Amino acid sequence: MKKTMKLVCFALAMVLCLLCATACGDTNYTANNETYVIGATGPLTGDTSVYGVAVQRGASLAIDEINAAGGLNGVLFSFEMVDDMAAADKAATGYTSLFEKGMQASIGSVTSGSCASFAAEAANDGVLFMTPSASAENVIGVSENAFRVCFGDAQQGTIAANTLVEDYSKIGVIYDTSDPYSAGLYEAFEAQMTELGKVKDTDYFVYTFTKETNKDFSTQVSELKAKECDVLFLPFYYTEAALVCKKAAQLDFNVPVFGCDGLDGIKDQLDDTVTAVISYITPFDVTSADVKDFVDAFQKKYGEAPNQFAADGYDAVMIIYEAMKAANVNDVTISAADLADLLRPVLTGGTFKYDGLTGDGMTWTTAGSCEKAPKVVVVERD
Amino acid sequence: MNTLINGLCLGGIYALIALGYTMVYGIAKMLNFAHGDIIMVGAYAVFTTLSIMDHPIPAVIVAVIICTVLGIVTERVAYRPLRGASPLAVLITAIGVSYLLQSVSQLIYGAGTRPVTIGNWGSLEVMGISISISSLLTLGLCIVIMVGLTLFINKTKAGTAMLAVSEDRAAASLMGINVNGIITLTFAIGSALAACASVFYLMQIPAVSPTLGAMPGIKAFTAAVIGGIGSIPGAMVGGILLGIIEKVCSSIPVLAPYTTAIEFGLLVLILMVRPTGLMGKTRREKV
Repeated sequence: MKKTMKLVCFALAMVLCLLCATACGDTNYTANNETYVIGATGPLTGDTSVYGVAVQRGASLAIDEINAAGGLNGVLFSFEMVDDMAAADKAATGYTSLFEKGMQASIGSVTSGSCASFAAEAANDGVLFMTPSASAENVIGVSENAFRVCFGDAQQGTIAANTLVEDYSKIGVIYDTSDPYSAGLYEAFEAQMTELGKVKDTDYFVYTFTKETNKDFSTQVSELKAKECDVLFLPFYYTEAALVCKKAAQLDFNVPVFGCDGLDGIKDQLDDTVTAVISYITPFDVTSADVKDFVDAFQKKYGEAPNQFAADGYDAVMIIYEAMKAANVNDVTISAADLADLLRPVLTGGTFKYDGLTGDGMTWTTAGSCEKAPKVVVVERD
Repeated sequence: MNTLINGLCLGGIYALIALGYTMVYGIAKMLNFAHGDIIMVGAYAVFTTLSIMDHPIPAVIVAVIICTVLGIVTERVAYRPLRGASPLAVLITAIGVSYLLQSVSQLIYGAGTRPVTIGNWGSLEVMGISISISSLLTLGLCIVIMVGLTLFINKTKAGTAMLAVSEDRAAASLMGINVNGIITLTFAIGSALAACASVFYLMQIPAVSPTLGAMPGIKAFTAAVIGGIGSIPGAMVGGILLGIIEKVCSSIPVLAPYTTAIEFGLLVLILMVRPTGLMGKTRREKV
């Protein structure tokens, strides 16, 4: 009796294994596709929804334009976006549901934390993605099929160091030790300063804060004023940066302020007490004549001006489309992994260049990072 | 030197908030965890008044009135029905009130951070260091308010009645003191102090958000416990001590990332050495 039970169990286990193998291996989710499906996850609700919604709108606008022009060899495109509320676990489950819906290429996730877990899942299935905005270093490292549109944190830190040493001799730096974006930017900045032969506490002075102490900057600002710094470098987000600017104005410390793409949006947080010149590295300048068509189309469809994330989302979709065109993709049911194998050599081949809203002549390294010339924008105030 | 002034300034704000905690605890024997959110409501009151008329004085008056009324109303609606209930029930109600206030302001004003400017008077050069006028103003007014409060409690009839209620509620009631009235008065004063704190807070940190009250609330509570909860001079000393420690830590680059940890570490240390706080009364438990 015992023996037969064992046998039955074994047989059942075998059957289960077989079932599993067929489920995992043979199901072709893209077999019934009638359009090329591009997927993404991002925060559509919650505190950071402003970024996710912007990417969704920019990407949808790109899809509209592609389809209005007849798609690719007569096949149209569709775009699916899942709300991940900027949470890593929701990005992973979102990825799975997109993959099962027949996603063939992706623009990844909007925020860095989510995109890291999205990337890990995508690497298993060999899905190619081009994240518009996830700038942390680990996002593109996990797979040869991971790419991004925006600058990485390290790239911006390096650019900041190179730009600032040209004009200033005593750089005051404040950064957030509890935030990977800010800490990543600072580390790259410090590395580049060392590279340039600059010495900490002589050529630049550093003070820090954490997310528990991100409101009152009186100490940092008065210390940097006492050191007679001639510029402030603020590698973090605009809400805190605006508080630093106001504190500096209170202390009559009106030196220029320089930041990275996190300062996009600072204008609305300032008042007329702040007189310092504020500039930041950004790939997208909404007032530039080069992007007027996009800005007008966006304004018409959504009733507001696009921000940098919308432009990144638009570019991400367009880059995938252009790469598919260059690879002459001609099969609407192509699997995600097969498509990745066609697109990767195009993107990293050296001849493929994309002129977009967020930079001209973009090229990609085999590591997945985007090479393009940086732009520095000065915040215009009335 | 600069750090010291910044610390005193922040400490003054903490002390004002801590006074609200400690007075309510001393008299009503409850921890009013919604106190931090009263500051947030005060800040939004300032924000709204400033957007209607651009002058700080009416904004301060409106904030004080709204906070005082809010303090009295929450006491009436949320805490009075629970008088005599277990302390845990009151504590949880207070946390509920805190979430209610946060969510309501999120509904009205949205979750984002909004900039506020209460007058900008630049800074003053004194002996080679520059101090912002608003810091001096904060420091000066905090001292005035604390002196005033001490005088009120020690010299007036109502103040004496408050002391009596905190000493022994039953006996005070037998002596003809209206205990409920005194508790309401305490909440009113505590909330008015919170309104003042919110104005000073905005002078230092010119931005409002629905969770603005959380961190200063917790810090001030820590200050009240360090000083000895229930003790008014204790709250002042605890607040100023905490403010100075916070600013000194954040001015030393090596310690800066651990500022909050050091502050709360100090709380643990003091509770281990002196469980009743620096100025708390050691009372023998009656068995």
